[in-house]
Amino acid sequence: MKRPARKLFDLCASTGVACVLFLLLFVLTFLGTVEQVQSGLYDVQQRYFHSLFVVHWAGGVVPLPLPGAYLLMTLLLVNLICGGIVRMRKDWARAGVLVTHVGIALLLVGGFVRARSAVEGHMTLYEGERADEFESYYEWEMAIAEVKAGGECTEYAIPGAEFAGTASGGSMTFVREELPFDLTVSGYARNAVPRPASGPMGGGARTVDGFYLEPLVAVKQAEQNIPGVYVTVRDHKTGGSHEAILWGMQRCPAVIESGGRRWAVDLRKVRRQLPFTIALDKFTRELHPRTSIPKVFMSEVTKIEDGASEQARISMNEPFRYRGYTFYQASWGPPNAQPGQPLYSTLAVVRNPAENAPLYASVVIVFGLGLHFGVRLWRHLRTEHLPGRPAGGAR
Amino acid sequence: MQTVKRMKPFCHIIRVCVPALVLALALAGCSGRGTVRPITRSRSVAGPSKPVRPGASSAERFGFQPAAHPQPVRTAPGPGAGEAPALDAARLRWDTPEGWQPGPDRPMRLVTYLLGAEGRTECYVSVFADSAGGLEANVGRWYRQMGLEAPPAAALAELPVVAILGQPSPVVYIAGAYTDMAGATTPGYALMGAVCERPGGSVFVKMLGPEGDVAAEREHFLAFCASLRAEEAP
Repeated sequence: MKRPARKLFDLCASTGVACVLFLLLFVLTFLGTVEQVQSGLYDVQQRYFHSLFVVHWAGGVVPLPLPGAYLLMTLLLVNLICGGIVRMRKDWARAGVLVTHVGIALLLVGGFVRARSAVEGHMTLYEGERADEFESYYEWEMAIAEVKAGGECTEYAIPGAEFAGTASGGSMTFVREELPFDLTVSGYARNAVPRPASGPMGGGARTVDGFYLEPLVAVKQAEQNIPGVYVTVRDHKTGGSHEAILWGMQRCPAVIESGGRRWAVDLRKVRRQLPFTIALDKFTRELHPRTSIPKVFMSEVTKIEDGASEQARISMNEPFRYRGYTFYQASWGPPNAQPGQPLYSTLAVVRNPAENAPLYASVVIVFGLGLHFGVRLWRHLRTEHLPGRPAGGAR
Repeated sequence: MQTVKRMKPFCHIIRVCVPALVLALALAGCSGRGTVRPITRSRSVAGPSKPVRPGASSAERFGFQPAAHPQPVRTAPGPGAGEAPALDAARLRWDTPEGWQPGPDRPMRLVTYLLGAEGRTECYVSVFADSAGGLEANVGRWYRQMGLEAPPAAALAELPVVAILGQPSPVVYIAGAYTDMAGATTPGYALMGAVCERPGGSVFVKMLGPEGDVAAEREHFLAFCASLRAEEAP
């Protein structure tokens, strides 16, 4: 009778488990690709590939629970390490395979690091403008900042994921010692529009300041969904409360007074700080003659950090990399700009600690495969020239 | 015996995977979040990220009223209407919102834009030398196009407004099933329209398409309306 630990290890290292995992990955990829037509790329990525479990609705009616790609890849990594590295016989004949497995494991680890730690967004600048933060494409947050006449202030942020659960009912209260109030969030809608309560469809909805929030069906292009939420601010000292609707496209934040101070509460795309500043010096766009097809579009930027500046060019396939951040030339606008009209440049910003993992993994895999086939060839040639074997290699 | 041996790995899989699955689900269930949570993120900033307008109403924040310029709703030209010059469509200018693509020329339209993810939504401007039936008739027609009954005349006075050519212009947002001129009905559509009645003519701005697209472009629509301006005659 094997010990349980040994049995568990054998299971983890099993080729059968690897086959099951590959099969499930195939099924998941197929179903996710099909689902993408209905739900859009971002939603499918989150539900099928960045998750532990997923329920796929076959035909829209039959629930089919499946492990998510995150779980499958984790199990695959464990299987690879146990079966393809630890348990594998260590000799020259298998050295190449072993190295290849290490490369694949590196690829998987790189994927995990990216899934957990990478952030991406964009910054849009006109010539002469500068920014030290960038905005997420998809993530939203609630930002609370004190309104002061001037000078710096502290901004508090609540990630959208923390109050998204109120979409199905209930509420969530957020507190912070430095704030003279607590903030209760309810009625979150991922895609919504505020409508006047006096309108034809205003009856029965929760109304705040003459408006109610009407949830809309989420659109496939996730970045086009504009969320909305109800907030109630309760003053710690007086116990008084103030209600407001926050909407992702509101022109200005809701302003509340609490603790003798004014606070701005906004719902916006997540903003992330850069440890340096990027200034757009010049944006160049050239079109092919008599077409609207771009020939060249390039941003000349200055990176400013601690008073020191460095100039760089960002163009198609030529990003600018610095301190773990990569800036790509993403787009420009306005799209129908007339000749002479100022243009803005949009730079995609990505911070991926495992950015080079695929490159390193590929090098390791190529080396491993080269070693494996090299050893095989060498062994073959050596066998062919063994004494007593007939010339010409006939067996 | 062979069959039993072959079954063994699968028994192992079931023995280990099922408890693991149950444990994972239990952990997921136990990660229930309390209704009170601390705000953990903070950072120093130069100020709020958007311009702050203390005292702004929800209507102003959501773009239903020009910010800081609340205007009374007027559904008919005011005093002095007869003295105004005629509206010259050729002198109208505007700012094209980001992502809007010029569409093909159509009769009775000054300009058409295609927008939205699949270009199924269009927004266009029509200019008339007269009132073209007026606010009530046109808004009623739009409601009927969307499969709804026309609102009572009194409700028009409650419509939000946007400033077009300096004129407070009522804006409607209608969601429903759109019936086109051929009689085909498409559910899940929305119509957003603004009516500018001014001395010497009228301007209609209309956006029509899938509800998600129209809702997403709402702010652009209002900005587009507000950007309409008449170039001065040389």
